[in-house]
Amino acid sequence: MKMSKKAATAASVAGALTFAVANLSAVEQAHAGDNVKCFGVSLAGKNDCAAGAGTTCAGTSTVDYQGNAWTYVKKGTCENMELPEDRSGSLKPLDRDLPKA
Amino acid sequence: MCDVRMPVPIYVEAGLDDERRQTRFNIYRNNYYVAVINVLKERFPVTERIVGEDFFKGTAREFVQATPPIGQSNLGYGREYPTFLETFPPVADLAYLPDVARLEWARFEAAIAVENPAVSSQDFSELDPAHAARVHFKLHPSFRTLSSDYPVYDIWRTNHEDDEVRSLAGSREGQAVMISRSQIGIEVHHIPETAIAFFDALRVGLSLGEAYDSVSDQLSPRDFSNLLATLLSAGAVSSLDVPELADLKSVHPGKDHTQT
Repeated sequence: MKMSKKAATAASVAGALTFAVANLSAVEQAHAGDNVKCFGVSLAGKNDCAAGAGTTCAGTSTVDYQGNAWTYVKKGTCENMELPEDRSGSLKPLDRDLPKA
Repeated sequence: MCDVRMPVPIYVEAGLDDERRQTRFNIYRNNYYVAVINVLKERFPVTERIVGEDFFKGTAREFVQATPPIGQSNLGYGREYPTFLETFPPVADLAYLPDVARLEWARFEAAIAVENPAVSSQDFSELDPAHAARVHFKLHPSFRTLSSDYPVYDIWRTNHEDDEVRSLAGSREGQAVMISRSQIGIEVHHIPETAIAFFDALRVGLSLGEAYDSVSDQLSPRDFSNLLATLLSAGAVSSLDVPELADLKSVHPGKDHTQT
């Protein structure tokens, strides 16, 4: 009886995990190539992640277009984005518009 | 600063008479309130939508007075706001409101949680499904759950997404939700109530099989599959661990010959 319950659990978990991983793989493919991290385009407080040491996550940038904060954007649009005063987005962190230390 | 009964600090415009000092200090005090209330507005937009802008300002002002921000950072400010709403008589009719605010706070916490990669489908490539029950999941730092006596997910969602709030007449039952941060943003999912016990079992270090056993009388294999799928795709698992894998490999060396 005990063994059969154990076997039933193992089968349920195996099935569930197989399904979940297949689903994850499909979700990954749907998003793959869709979005890139674009630095220097986020408005203050609207970045997706990374805004410098100590404030490593979403919504923590303090300056508009902060160079070391990024936002996910559609691939191919990052470097062509029209931003004020001749700024452009970058796929790598930038030195401009950093918060004052 | 927040207590209007306190006298104007002596350093404010020391050369002027008391009345003008009070007037000028009130301007400063008001600006301060506006700034702090704006922080709350950003963190509780759905709560604001439900009660309306002016009413929200009123509740927020009362909250700021009762619980002023302390310290130099306001990052944790608002954590007590849902509990404050529970004790605030003017919103006593909106019994669901504190839980909606809790959901919003959990989203905010998920947004600022430590950046940590989530597992990808690749991480499972070496796992033999026969050993799935022995896998241990470590949950992502952004992962949060909430269980409510009210249809908190439906209420939050329609107020978050819809220009015109949908009728929730058909939804009376309590709801549980999970919140996490994935590649696409902050995810909020409606989950079965039992899922919370399952996550708690994972948190205390039980394997997938042990955790599922603890809830399997209330969670069908089909719901369990969907739950695991949501958990993985929402980026809620940051690592997995199969402690006995090395032993199993040595016992059944032929099993993984297709890998590497």
